[in-house]
Amino acid sequence: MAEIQQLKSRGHVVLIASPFFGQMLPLVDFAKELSIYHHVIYVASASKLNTLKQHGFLTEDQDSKLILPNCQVDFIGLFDDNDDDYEVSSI
Amino acid sequence: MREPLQQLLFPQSFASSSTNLLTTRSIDHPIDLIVSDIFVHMPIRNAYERNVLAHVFVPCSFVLVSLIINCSTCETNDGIPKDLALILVKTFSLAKGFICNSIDKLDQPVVDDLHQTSLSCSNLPVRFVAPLISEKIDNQQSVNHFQMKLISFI
Repeated sequence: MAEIQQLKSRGHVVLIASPFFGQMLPLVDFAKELSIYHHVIYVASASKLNTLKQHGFLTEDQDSKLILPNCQVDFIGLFDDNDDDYEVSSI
Repeated sequence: MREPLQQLLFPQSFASSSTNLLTTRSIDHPIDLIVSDIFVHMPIRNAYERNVLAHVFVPCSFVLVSLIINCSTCETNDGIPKDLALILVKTFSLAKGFICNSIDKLDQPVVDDLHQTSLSCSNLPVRFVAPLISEKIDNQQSVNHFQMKLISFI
């Protein structure tokens, strides 16, 4: 555990997702892998992070902070009004 | 997303009439690396201006990068709008590399094609990180077992 903590002190990485689940989910998986070696912060629209929580991809810790189970990734939500569910419209 | 991201990533240079916090919390330590989704171009530009390392994340096949480059030069109105494609291509040249959720053996021809172009991003390193397997795929299978099956299938 001490060795992992030492590895984590190497770098602080910020991952930024666009507000579409097809883009967000692969980046969540990448965050999990990267968090083994670095301190990772995942940034996305706050409303979309809540939806990920509702679908079980994220949970809340005792401080009501969003977390990934078994991973140390910090999640930060943006209050950017990207609250809509985007639909594909025909061209 | 622009204002909240600027306030979060570069608060010293964030100028706004509002003092409200636009994020759920702040970042309290220096950032060593920014990895931004391919369509979220602003952080890459800002990172370049502030000498912070930044990479573009491609969440699917690297063919998406070729598509964007084609849309930036095409006059037709298919796919990504040309003005957006031009901004994204310019942003690629400001990044230090691509991180792609694909497999190098599948997409290497696309990377080779990019190397043949004269674009400023043509020689950027491309790092393939797939397969990224989510644990939330099937409760009855272990992740390792699924990964082995997938890799042997490929």
